[in-house]
Amino acid sequence: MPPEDRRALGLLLLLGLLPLLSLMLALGLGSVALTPGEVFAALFGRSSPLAISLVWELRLPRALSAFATGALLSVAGTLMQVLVRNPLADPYVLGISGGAAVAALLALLAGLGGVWLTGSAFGGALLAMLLVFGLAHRNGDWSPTRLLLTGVVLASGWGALIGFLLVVSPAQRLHGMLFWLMGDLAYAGPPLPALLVMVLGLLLCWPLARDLNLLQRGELQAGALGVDTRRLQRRLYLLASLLTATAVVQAGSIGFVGLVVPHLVRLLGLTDHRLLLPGAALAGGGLLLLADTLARTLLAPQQLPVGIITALLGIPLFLHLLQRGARTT
Amino acid sequence: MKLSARGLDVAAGLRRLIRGLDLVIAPGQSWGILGRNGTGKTTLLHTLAGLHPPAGGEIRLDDRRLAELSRRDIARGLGLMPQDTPDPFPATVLETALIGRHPHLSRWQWEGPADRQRAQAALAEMDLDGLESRLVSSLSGGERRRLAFATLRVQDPPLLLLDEPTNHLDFPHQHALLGRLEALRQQSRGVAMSLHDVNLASRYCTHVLLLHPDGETRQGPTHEVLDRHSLEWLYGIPFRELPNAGHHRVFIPEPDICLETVETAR
Repeated sequence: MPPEDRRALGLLLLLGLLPLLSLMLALGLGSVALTPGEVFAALFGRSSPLAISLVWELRLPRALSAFATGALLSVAGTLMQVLVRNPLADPYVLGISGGAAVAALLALLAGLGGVWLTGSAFGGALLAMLLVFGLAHRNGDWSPTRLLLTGVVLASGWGALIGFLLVVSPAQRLHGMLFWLMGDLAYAGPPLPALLVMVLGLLLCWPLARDLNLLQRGELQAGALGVDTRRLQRRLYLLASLLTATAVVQAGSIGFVGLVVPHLVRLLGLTDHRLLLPGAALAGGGLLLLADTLARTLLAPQQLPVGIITALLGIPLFLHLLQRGARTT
Repeated sequence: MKLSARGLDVAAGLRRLIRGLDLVIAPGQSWGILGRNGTGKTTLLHTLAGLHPPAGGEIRLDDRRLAELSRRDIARGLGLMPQDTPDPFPATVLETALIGRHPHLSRWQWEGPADRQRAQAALAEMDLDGLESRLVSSLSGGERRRLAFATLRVQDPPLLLLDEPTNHLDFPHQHALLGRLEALRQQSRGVAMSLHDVNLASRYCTHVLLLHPDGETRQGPTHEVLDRHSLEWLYGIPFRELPNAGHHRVFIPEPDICLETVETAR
């Protein structure tokens, strides 16, 4: 195996350690702190009932939700960036989360919760996706610029609607709405559906990874080297939308992860999508898990929206790597 | 492998650029496509590569219609070196050359040592050896063009379409690249490239296709078609031919002389 491949595989393995370490922290930290030994004991049911229920019923589901959400957003971000060939794209820039947020706020305003809230957010995301798809798709021509602009314009439209809904909402609902808008895992549903979508999404997009390597160099180059670009772009759009919708439903709209994690992983040196996609899933999941653990422990018992922490953690890390990259190339 | 167009109409948006073109690019031929800006050289190349729908007529790769072939099958028969290759995301030089193997690898296959050797040889051929692990974004314009050509060489198709391959290249590299193409032509590959330098076309192309702004075309063996009159017709400025230039005819554009004066003087 050539040295650069060995290095890339090593990096991927290192990225695999990040979620594991984050998981140990997430399961151990909280109002009752557990040592790694106690966490393992609780995981295998050889501990006090309190510790077992703390780990199994409270911390593990939330940790898995955080991991799944981070991985979903990062993979969706990677796909979106290739789709519009623009490093500034992320799952939210195309307005998908905006649609989900408006629908979710409407549900909250109507006093609905649980399945209704989830279903409503998912429906909103799909509606937003169809709007962008329908409006940007004209004469069979589907330029990345038009896709990006349509998404950006619609996203600001959703933003205006969100502002309107917040203004007309009664004060006692505002707090919940704001938390939802900033992204929060405290009220996340069971993690299994999101985990399943994450694994399924990764399995569906991984076989397309070499095509993505080509598409990132433009439709012309990809087409000339044998990629059916129209079909590929349609698939990417559907996959990215589905992943984003699932993430939004799980944890509200958490910004920043989908934009920054793909770049972080690229800057680390994983530029081939066959490694970048799993790398982004691991890094995004691990980072969000870490951020969520900090969000619920830093100012305990006060809980912070996790979006604040992802930004505070991610921005310096990203800028550092960007600076380092600028020096070595 | 042979590429043939019959009654081909080429349009960009609502603009009809080329009408009723019959063209055969056979093995061992090297076609130079000449014309002024906006006459459809690039669109024609994209159309011949199956990347732009023809406005009329049909294109065949050997005896199969291009429209019926999968992109992958087309990519194994013909390759295109685009006019520019955007790189919004970081990628190394070696990775970029290796994407040329894409049409030859199955879905689950990874590039092996043979593919890697092929890529390294193509990079060395274009003086890019030693730059394998550099990021493409750190290359100069000329180096990027040579990388694009190396990628096409790694793809290694029997038919090569090139959109202004000598853009940004210095003289030694222009001749290195065209000399490489000449060697490939002699190994029975078919070549078609758009060029802005009539003297490179005169030296390196066995055939030329002239695209006039009004949609008319002229074509044929270079020594028959490429003369002062056809160039004046094509570009609308006077040309002078250097006497005793050697094996290849050499033309000098003379834009300072008004063409009408030349015509009346005759």
